[in-house]
Amino acid sequence: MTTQTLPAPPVTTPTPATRRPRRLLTGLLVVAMLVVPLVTTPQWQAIWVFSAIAAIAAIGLHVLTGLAGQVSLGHAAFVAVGGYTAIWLGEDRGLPLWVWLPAAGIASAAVGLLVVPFAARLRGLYLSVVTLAVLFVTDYIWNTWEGLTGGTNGRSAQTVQLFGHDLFDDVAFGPFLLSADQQYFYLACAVLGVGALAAYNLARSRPGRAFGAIRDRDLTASVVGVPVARMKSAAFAVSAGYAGVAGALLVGYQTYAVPDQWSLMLSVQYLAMIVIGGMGSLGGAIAGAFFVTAIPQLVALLAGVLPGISTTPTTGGGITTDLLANFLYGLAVVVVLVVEPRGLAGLPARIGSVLRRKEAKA
Amino acid sequence: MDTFIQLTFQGVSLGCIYALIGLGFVIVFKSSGVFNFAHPVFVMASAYIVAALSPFGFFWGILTAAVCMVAVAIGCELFVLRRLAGRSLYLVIMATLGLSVMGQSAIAMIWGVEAQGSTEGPMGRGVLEIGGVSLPWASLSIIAVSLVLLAALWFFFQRTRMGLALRATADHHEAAMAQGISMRRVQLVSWGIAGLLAVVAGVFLGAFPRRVSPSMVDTALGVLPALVIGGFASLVGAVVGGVSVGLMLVLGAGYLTSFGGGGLYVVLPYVAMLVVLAVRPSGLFGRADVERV
Repeated sequence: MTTQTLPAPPVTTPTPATRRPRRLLTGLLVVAMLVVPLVTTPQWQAIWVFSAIAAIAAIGLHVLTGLAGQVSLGHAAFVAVGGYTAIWLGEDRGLPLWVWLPAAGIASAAVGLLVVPFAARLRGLYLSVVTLAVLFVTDYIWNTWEGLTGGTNGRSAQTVQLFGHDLFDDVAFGPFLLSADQQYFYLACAVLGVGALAAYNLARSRPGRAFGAIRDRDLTASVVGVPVARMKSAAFAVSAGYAGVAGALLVGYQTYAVPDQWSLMLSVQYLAMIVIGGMGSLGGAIAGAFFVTAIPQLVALLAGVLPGISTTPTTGGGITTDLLANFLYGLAVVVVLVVEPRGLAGLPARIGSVLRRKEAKA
Repeated sequence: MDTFIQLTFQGVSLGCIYALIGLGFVIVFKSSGVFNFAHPVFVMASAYIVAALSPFGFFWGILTAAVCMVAVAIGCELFVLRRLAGRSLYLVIMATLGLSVMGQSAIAMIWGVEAQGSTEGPMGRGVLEIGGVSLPWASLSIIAVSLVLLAALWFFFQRTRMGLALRATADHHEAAMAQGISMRRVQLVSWGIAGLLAVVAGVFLGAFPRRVSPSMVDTALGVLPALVIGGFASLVGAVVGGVSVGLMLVLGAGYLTSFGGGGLYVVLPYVAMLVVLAVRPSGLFGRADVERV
């Protein structure tokens, strides 16, 4: 066994010299993220909210796939479990956010553990098909369990209240009048921040290193004493937990939930986020979530410039913004995989190396 | 009893379609190690092409679809998947999912999302009555054509030089290359065969429920439990798995209407799949090692 065949570890340990600009960059991006929703149009504000929520789910998939190397096509199912837990506790039982948000994560993590008897034994392709089975079985449950989900027509979701204030009411905050979208965005960002910090630290903890060992070669991992089955279960539970929290926030923002939205396409979107962002990179997963969610809006902008793109969805065919957006995100996945496997996370390094080359010439 | 015979017959004919789709997956997987999630889109695209061209002649439609699908399949292999050779299984699956998303939106741009006409062509809508059992001609032709195709595939794999090369490749890549087998040619041929199988499956799938619509992708993806039941790396397994899933779906739809809201048959194949995975993880006809290293 030569070391050449092993994939290079995607998380490079930063040296003190590279750490400072990277921290600066992260700080600037966080500030930009918090300020931008204050100055953009309402259409974009909705995109920011959806992006922040999607980023939470994408972090979950990043832990499972990027860190522990396990394939899942069923992430949408866990998002759905979280969403319906929140609806049940928040809407039907009238419990506050402090209860339904963590409960959604815990319930989803518990369902994630159901996959474990299979996940611990299976690898690669078989695992991906099992997670797909989870998706189809839960899809059947959502369509059949009308008492919870309202059947095919869906149902309304819980209202989101913080300290007795409904987030969908405008609120004056200093000189700003915060709209519903802006308030919701900051709530989602707060959750995203906690989740990202936890995932960042998880990657550097003992379980995180164990995940990496399993990703690179589970046989080797078990030889050096990593409890492979237990660690795989943990990765599934953590990933499903993130998905559940994202699902609770998602249905709350949508104000409704329909069974059809938890489709394979949604799972593929989450996968696309971490692939486009760059596999194994936490920042990449978040950037990928924003990128994939923003594509429809970017295409809508493009429709104003390019002729031949219709902005109204039709059933009769033609190049509509929705379809073009879908096509482009499929294309983005393929292009990233073929051309730049490090994804968006690889861009700073690539730009940096181009700049250094120019400096060397000058 | 008549109902049972009728349902079994329908199940076998649906199972034949699944067997054809499954073979498309397995042949590509064995030769290039790629599990092609875009294959259901190939199936759907051929159905759309045949449905659109059938006013000009059914067989012209099939010919056009065959040329297009072989070209598309080989194009995917040449320009995307060959460049990903040796990368992790997960990234390869992701690339085929990306291709699948592109294909689905391209089809929706060309034909819209509403159901199109059927692809029954000369199979017609007639029914053959035997005693109390009515057997649609379309289903009879599906079973007959599938049997002929399976025999042809068997002949190709067992009795021709190229078939031997494909089998050797599936057994051991390096050993096959050492014997002077061109890996590029083997992979092009297997993707081409998968494209052709997708055309036949697409025509049948468009004739059986009598409409061509975007939901065909989901129907075609229903072949996955069949592949697990049979074993991913087994051609015989794909056929046996396909037919048993077809039977489960149709018999389930016929007899389980009073349980679980009437939709329970949809999950039957997945339950069977999980049972097989728990008992015999490599599938009924598979070998233990199907991991891509």
